[in-house]
Amino acid sequence: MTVGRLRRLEEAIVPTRLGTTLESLRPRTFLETYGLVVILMIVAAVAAAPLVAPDPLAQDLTSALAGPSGEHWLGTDNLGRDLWSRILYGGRVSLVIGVFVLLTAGAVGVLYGAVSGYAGGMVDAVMMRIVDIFLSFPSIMLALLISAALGPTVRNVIIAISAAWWPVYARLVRGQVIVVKEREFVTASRALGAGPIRNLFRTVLPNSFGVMKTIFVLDVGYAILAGSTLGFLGLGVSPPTPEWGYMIREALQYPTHWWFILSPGLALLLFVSAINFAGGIVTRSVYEVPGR
Amino acid sequence: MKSPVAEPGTIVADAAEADGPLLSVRDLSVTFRAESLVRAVRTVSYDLAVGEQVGLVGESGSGKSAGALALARLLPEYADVSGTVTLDGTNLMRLTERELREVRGDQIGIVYQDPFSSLNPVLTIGKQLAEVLRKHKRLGARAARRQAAQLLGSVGVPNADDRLSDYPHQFSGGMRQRAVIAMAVAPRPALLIADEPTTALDVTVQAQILELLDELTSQHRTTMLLITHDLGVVAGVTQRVMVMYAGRIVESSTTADVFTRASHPYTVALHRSLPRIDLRQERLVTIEGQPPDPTRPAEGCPFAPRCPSRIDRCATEDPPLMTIPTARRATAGGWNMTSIQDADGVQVPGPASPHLTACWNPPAPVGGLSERGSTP
Amino acid sequence: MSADKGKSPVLVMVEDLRVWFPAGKGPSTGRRGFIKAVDGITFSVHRGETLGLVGESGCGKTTTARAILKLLDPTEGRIRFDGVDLSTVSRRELRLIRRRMQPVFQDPFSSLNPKRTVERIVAEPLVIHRQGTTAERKARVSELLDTVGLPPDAAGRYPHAFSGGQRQRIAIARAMALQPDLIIADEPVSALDVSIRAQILNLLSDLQDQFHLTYLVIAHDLALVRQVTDRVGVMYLGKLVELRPTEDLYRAPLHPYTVALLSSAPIPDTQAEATRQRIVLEGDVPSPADPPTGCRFHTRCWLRQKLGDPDICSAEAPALAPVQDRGASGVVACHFPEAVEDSHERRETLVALTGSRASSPSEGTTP
Repeated sequence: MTVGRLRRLEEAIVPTRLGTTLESLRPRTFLETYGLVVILMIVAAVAAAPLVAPDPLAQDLTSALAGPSGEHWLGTDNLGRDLWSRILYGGRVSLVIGVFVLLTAGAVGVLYGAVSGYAGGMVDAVMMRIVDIFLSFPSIMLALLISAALGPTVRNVIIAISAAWWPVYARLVRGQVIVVKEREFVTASRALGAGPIRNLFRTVLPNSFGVMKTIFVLDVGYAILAGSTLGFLGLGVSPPTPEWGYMIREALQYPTHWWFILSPGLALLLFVSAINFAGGIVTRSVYEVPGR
Repeated sequence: MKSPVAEPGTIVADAAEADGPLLSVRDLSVTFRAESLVRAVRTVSYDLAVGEQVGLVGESGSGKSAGALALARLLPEYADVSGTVTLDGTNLMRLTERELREVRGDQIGIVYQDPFSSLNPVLTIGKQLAEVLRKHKRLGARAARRQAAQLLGSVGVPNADDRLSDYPHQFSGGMRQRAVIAMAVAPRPALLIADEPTTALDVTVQAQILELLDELTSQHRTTMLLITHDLGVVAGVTQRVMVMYAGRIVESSTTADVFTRASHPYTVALHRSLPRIDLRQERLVTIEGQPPDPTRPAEGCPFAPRCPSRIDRCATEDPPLMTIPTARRATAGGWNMTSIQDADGVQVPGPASPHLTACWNPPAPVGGLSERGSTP
Repeated sequence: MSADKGKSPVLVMVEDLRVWFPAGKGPSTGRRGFIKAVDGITFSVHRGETLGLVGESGCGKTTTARAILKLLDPTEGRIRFDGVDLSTVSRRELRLIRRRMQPVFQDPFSSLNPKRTVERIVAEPLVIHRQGTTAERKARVSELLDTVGLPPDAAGRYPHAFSGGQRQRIAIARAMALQPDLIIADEPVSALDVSIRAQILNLLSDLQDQFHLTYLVIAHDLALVRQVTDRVGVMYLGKLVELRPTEDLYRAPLHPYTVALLSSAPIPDTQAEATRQRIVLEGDVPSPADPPTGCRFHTRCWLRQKLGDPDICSAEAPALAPVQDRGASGVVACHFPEAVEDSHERRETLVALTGSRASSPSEGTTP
């Protein structure tokens, strides 16, 4: 069966797929449901942190490195700070890093890639060589370098990771834009007299986002990991702000106190894997059609 | 194949000479499981005799391609296929995937619409041809290459020896389709399914490819099922035509009959609505409405909403294929489904079957071009 | 009909148009070459007429249409729309001209933005050209939908909810929104189901009568071209080889390539198909990157073979010359049009096409 025919077949089927946006976002497998529930729970817990957890910075050296108990649900760290609280507040940092990296790198990358792809020719060639230069560094190395140069704050971590990531989006969007700009409805719009800016932002870009949506969601997870990696390497968010990666780094010095390393490790694993599982929902919704 | 192409029309297939049909399709249904069920083919039955060239005509969504691909069980996983397909005594629906692979290629050759996507772009034409020959004819590497050159020459590719080392993109559309045809006929299949083989090609090339298919199939007495949306394409190549609409065969007869004495309102309307190359019409006769939605099969005759000769019965009962006299008696009244089937049995289009139509009220036979030569 | 339309004023004038695309290095020369998609064509489209361009893929017919729409820039030559030279036009003037010529594309599955409602699609030209208020646009959209035969409730739905024929109606409504003078339709029905093609062709014809439109129709289907056009230009490998009033072309083609095209066209008539002798063109269309010298068609020309390969065919490119001296109208680019006229190949082709009417060619025209 040829691709052309399959496309026709899909076209034939399309009229019946009247999934509204909400409808298409409903999880359909166990893993998707699990992922979505875990994400919602983590977000809720993190948001409610001040209500359900003590001060994450309060030190109590008398109860340092205490195991889980009624008072400290997940135990305490080497300075006697409550781990439950530090996990929740650390989750805030991770979430902020994940979301803002995506917004920053996404915005820059999409804009850059869209302009490059739509302009074509020499402009495109030059813009893509610049992207190639960025991509020739391992992204984590680049993030490390930038983070080291800027200093360890949440904002700088976001900038560092974004700087390393936007070229990937730029390239993806450029590829999509190049495909979409050749479609006939874009030509039709040009023939109607639509200028390049209108054409790019109103006609080409809205039809180039499909693949991006999936990647964006999955990448929230990877951005969180990247943030934690920087923290783990000591170049992330500076102490005493709680951050999962840095917590793991500290815990490494106390290998016999299992709860210390277990909580941030598990939190990271739970969150990132949940995002991956739930990503399937978005992947699917991309291939559904708008309609009411 | 080893000899160059013979004069056209030297061997005329005689259907009656064979014992039974080569291919026998009974109650074939294909349903695609999409968000809702797409009933692409609905209980289609027909026979093909050895050496026959039969056209299967219909527009997109009529089920013509799905029905043909279902013969070789080449439909995607989300297609449910039921019914029986018997090729040379073997029920293909019962075969395992492994056994099927032997049948495909060996006994059923397929030529697709788009020759570019049916060739592997990273292998040379020669490699691809040799691969087919080695697999199906169990030839050694060197013998396969020699035969590949012969084969390519026999489908009318000039300088075949040199062109074996070309990649598909170095071939023109017509030459590519010739290469695809060479691959399909190399194992000398008993049945060749040509699915819109000329739709992607230019007019001058289209004529050549149709002639090539005609020559190759008559030469080797290969049965050909030619699937197309273009009535003009079947006129020169086939002896019989089956017209499909909304997943059913609605008319079946000799090619000449379908052109001069079309009896199903859809076929008649199709003839009338086509622009004619022999004269300019005052205004084209249109078929009103839209093709039916395959996800919502109609209760009665699927063509009824667009049909000028519709009667009450059409809205409630889907007519079976019947002979025209039977259809007329049915119109006159007193005939219901059971009595029709009692009277002359269920009619299955085959090499010897009479002119069949699935219509409760067939219009007086009119061919699109029966008035050719007169001013409208 | 065609005669008096020929006298009406010129709307589009194409003069020696060339559109070359840069290509990769040539296999033999190693130099950077050009795909000569359109290589020197001249013709005009008159107000109110339908001009057809036919030819096989790669002949340059679509490129010509795109150049007129100014979707790509000519390498050489000039296109004038209503007297205005499109190559020197300012951005503002171009916007005004774009309102007056609109394309209708082949594939209504890809020419409509899938993410927009029909209302927004049809209103897009009005928005781009800042026509009317929101309410006025809404009213205009429903008027347009009605004109092309779509129900009013179509406005709120998305393209995927429509069949191919209905989508093409939407595309036509969009093209009509700014009340253009010229519609350029590239294969307007070839992606549609056979049973609805007539509906769209009739719609186009009704709109032409109602709004005095001029059409440039690009098609490969010769039967369709005969039905809808007043004049036809036949293109081969970037050149115009014959441009004639439609009826003249079909009844008395003068270029060997035109005869070959007519000879290849399938006829829905078993008898004619069984008896006809087709002209089979040798080989493939040569590459437009390296077109043959002299007459572009000489490498495949059946007439040249018949005439014993005269040198002039490969040495000198024939110019488009008027054929009045043969009592016909139009132009043809062949060194030996009289030999085409006398050939039995042409006679046989015409007999196969027209059946018994061929014997009396003066009859059988529709008024």
